[in-house]
Amino acid sequence: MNARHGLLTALALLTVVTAGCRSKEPKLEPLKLGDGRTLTAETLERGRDVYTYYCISCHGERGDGQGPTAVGMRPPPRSFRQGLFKFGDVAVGELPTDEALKRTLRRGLHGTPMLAWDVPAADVEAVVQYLKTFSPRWREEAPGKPLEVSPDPWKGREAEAVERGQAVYHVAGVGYAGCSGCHISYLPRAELESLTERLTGRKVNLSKADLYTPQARDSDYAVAVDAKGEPTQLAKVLPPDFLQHKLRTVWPLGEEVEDTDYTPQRQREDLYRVIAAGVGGAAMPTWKGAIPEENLWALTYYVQTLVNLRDTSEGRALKERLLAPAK
Amino acid sequence: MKALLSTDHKVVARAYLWAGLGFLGVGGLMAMLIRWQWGWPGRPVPGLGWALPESGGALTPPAYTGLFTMHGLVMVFFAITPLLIGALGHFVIPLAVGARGMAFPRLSAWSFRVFAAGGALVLVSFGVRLGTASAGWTSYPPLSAAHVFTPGVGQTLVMVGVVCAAVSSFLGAVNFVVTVVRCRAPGMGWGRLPLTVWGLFFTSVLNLLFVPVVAVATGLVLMDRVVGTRFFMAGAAVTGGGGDPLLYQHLFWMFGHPEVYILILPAWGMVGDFVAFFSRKRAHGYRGTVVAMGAVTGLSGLVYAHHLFTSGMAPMMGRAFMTLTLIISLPAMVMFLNWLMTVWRGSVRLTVPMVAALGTMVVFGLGGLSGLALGAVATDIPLHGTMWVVGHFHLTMAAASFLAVFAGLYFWFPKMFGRHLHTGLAMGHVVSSAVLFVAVFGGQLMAGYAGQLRRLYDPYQYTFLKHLLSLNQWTSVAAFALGSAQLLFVVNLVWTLRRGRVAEANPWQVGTLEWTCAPSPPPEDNYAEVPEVLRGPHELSQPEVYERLGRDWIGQAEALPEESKASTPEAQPALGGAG
Repeated sequence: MNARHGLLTALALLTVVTAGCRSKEPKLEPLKLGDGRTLTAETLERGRDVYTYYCISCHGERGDGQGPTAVGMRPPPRSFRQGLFKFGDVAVGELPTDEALKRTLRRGLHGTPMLAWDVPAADVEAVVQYLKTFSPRWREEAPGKPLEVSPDPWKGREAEAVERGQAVYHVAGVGYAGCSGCHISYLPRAELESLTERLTGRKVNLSKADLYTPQARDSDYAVAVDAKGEPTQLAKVLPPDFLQHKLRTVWPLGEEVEDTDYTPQRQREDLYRVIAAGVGGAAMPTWKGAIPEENLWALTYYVQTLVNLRDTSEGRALKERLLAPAK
Repeated sequence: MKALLSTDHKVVARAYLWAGLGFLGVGGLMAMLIRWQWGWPGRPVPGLGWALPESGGALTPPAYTGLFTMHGLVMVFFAITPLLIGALGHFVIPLAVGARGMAFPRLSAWSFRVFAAGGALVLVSFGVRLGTASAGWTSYPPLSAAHVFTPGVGQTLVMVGVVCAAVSSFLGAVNFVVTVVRCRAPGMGWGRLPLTVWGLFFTSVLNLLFVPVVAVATGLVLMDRVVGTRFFMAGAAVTGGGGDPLLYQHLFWMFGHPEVYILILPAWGMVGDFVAFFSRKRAHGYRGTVVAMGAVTGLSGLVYAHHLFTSGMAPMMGRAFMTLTLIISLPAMVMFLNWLMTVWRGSVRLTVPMVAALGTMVVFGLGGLSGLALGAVATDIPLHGTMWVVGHFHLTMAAASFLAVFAGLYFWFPKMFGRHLHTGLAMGHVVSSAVLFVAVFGGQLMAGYAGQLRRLYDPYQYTFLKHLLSLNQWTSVAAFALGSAQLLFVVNLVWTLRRGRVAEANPWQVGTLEWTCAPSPPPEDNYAEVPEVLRGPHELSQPEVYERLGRDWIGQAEALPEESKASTPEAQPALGGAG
């Protein structure tokens, strides 16, 4: 074979190889959403590229949360095929707002492998739209109405708010949330008994109750899926112990979140959002509208004090006091 | 097309030269972008809006990972290797050993063609969807072996390109070894070879031994990636049984560490020759230098696991490899001292190649010293994965190899093209490059010592690294100055090829065959008649030569006249301290 002939053969082979390297990804069609908007193919293709860069290793090629790095991850990566999201700024069960999804992408989820993705806004926008291709819910339903953060009625009366919030947290009844039914209690038995009697008139005996061990609860989130991406095993979710666990959408004070200082007010607003909206797919219901707004804010103030006791000597002392054997 | 079809080693060398310089430019531009990201993270790069419209020209994380991956790959496999070995090796070896051409001329041509194919694949990879390779220049699996971690075909194309570069290196090495062993001119004994040829010969031996290892390792990763085998895939990335990702690290570094010697041995050879040529002295300890280069060659495959000190390797293995690593610095020291002794009391001529060679010595010395901290386990553990490593290997592989390439290019350019490069521009280029290399890579050493990890997209997301922003910005400014300094070479090259002064046969007044037996540039068969070699390559400032010829040099194939010539004192060149 002379050199010229060999060279032409090699060039032909090279051309074939490079031509064969066109992407095998199927072309995406425009997507009509349940709210009447239509997502263009360009947006979805850009979103698919962004998803491929950043998301696929955990959330999987099919969006089922079964990427290769998801094995053993707790909490498991979200399966987008269910159309269920924990933090959506909407009432539990409704589809989240784009803004809520973008916030999760920009900030990440505290205490999980979901990082804060510092990527261009256009890419965030595109990937949020692409997520909607995984679940039919987006084609059938409109996202829920965003729950607004109402004005804080307790400004300047923080101590009073915390006191009210403690009651809202620990007591179940009209206007109160009774959060300690699922989360743990942060009052010693005797104090909790007297607080309940004072606010509801009911005498309770809590000497036998286990008030300080959080119990895992069922959720709708898939841990394992079948070949079609349908859930075969659902995750149990532990209601957080505020003195111990990191909250997903709330950060410690003093950190930088989205490149700005995380102030007590920002922290409070984030807490308000999650308490007001509830946690989709989990046992945490939507509290906005279920209890008076001022109680909702008071509850926020109280939980904020607990959150900020995490990893402090004061918090550890409170925990020890709660777990000390009853005398 | 002529370059692709010709079997003349000089044409092949020029083809490698242009390709290597082109890739050097590409790799250098990528380095500038990386430095921009470390100095001004997330800020739009001026003029890059067209390439990254979604971010307004700012580097996105995938673009950044692609950049640092391809910067390393392109510089190692497609810039320094073709320049130092492909261009200078192909050009110098046959001429310096007195051969009419390479032992296998068509193999020469094919080595370049395969290299060009690999280079084309690498360039194509920048244009495919999801971009080019992004698993780091080492292409560690499972990152490189699964589409889910490095999506798109860019990674695949680049790894095929690397296999092409490896095949090209192997073919070239076969040719070099056979040419040196079998095609030397009569009288050209092993002890009369220029040190450059020795360096290239040892490099070729290493290429023969270790390039197949990286070719095979890359091929196995490609099979994991494309065919679905599991040589290196394990754990969550596979269902059922798997392979061992660490095995790849062993295979890669079994090539990867010799690779640093592959890239520096020709440089050492050139430095040895140039300090002799331009100190007008015989190379001090010629045999010692050759033996030291041979010792480094022999030991180079026995030190590789110092790259794996933090991989969970057995402490006993760590100790063994640490000892071997520290031992390999001894022959390097022998060479260094021989160079210094050659310069010592020589009649030093600060020509451009000499200044570049001295620059090579300085930056390689700094690189070697910073490498000692990585060769010892105790200091490697905190420094591993930091910018200290980056600074170290850039001083040795980048700065030293680069300066040696330009030392060689400035030295042999008149012979290659028959024209003289402009001395002022060349000197400015070499001096500024050498100084700025120390600034840039010194800055990297400082950042690494302060704990900055390599490859970070935005180092300042870590609180403990925030204070390094100004250091990185200054280092980036030095890097931009270094990049700008290369324009001196570009201008010089363009100007010289059009209007440069025509070169005489032996402008440097040295005795090696290419300068004394062939015109500039040499004809296709190199020599009118094959020279008969009578002496070594560094017969400079010899009294009997001066006595009989009235000059301080004599050609390797030049016979001394029987009677001494009467020479006038004013015609006598200064002999410096030679004796």
